[in-house]
Amino acid sequence: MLIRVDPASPLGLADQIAAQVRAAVIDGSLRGGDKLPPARELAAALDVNMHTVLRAYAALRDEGIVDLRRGRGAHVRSDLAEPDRERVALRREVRDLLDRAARIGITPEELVNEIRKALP
Amino acid sequence: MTSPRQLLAALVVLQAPVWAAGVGLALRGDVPDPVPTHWDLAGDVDGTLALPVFTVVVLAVVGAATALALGLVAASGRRSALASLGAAGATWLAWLPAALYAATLVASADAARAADVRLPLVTILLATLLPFVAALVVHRLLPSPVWREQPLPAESATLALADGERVAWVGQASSRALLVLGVVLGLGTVPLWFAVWPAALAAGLAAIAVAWVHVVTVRVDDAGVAVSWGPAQWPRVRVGLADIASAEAGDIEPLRWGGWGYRRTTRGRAAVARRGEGLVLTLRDGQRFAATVDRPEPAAELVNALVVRLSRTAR
Repeated sequence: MLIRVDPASPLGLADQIAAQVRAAVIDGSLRGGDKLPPARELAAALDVNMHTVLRAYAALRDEGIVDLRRGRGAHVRSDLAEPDRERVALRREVRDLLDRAARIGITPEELVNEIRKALP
Repeated sequence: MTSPRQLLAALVVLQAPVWAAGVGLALRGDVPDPVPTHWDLAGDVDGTLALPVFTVVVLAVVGAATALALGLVAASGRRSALASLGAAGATWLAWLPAALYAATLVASADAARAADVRLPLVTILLATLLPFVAALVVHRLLPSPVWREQPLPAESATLALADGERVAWVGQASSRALLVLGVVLGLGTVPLWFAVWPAALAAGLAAIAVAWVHVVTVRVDDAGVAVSWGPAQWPRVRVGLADIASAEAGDIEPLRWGGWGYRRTTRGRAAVARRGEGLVLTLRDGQRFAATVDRPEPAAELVNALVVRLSRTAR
């Protein structure tokens, strides 16, 4: 799969890598059971530390998107159903929302209050 | 026009008849007649030929192959890939009987009867390896195929790269059939081990090699394209970005590229794990490089974008 990183971005390199894998899972270009690039290859190609890539993969595992197994590498979870995909997409939007709020000086607590206020 | 390198290559080719004839002349009085020409698996002689017949047959084959090799060495001046490859093949064909002939006579020297002659393993290895070395030297000495300047791809509309942006594509292709074949071969070595252990060793190594190459990893980055094998991504073959003219996604038919594994044919080089889609590079020298990989379209697009970026930043 294609991965681009921008060292000048305020977003960390691991976050950038994780975000692109997440996006690929959401838009369906990565399907359940697909193998992610071997961390060593991807790290060498992007000229980043291998642990940066592994950190990205570990974050994706914690979100329940990929399976990480020693000796087998990282695979997109094959039991990832459509509702899970939606949830992944929603989480990404929440993250974007948090970023946007932070940029205009709104703390996460204030954001939660904003959301409560928006409830009918 | 004959270059010094072509003369050197011709000199390598000529070693075959010179040494065969030389060893034949020097040892003709010291070897038994008939001479042994074939050994069974246990190392006992099971075939002999009269020395003059053996000599004439060997020299005829060596002579014909030498003539062919010299002709192709001369033809390689016109920079055809086929002539260089053919010259290397003919060199091997001239060297192999010459080396086996010399090895046989040297092993037979001072033996009273053909049946007493043993062929040491070192001699067999040397006689088998030397022709390959000679062929490789000839191939290296001859000019590489014609350099046809390939047009660069047009600026890609779908994938534009900023100058400093780091971007990479990594993909793999794997073949379950090769893995199964490797495992079957591996199981086959077990009974073989009790019968003929050298064959078991060879089959075991082949099994490991076949199982190992069932995965091909292709990596595209700003250094170019790297293809590697096996779970540890080793060994690795690299194609520098500066050597690439363009890339496309294509269908790879193993038999048209010389088979499975890593192949070198007149069509170009290929890393093949299975039949089907792959990345096909056209190099600046007109040669091609193919690697099987799943969903290669973005990879080809990225290679073309990187080539365009390189030509832009090099200017």
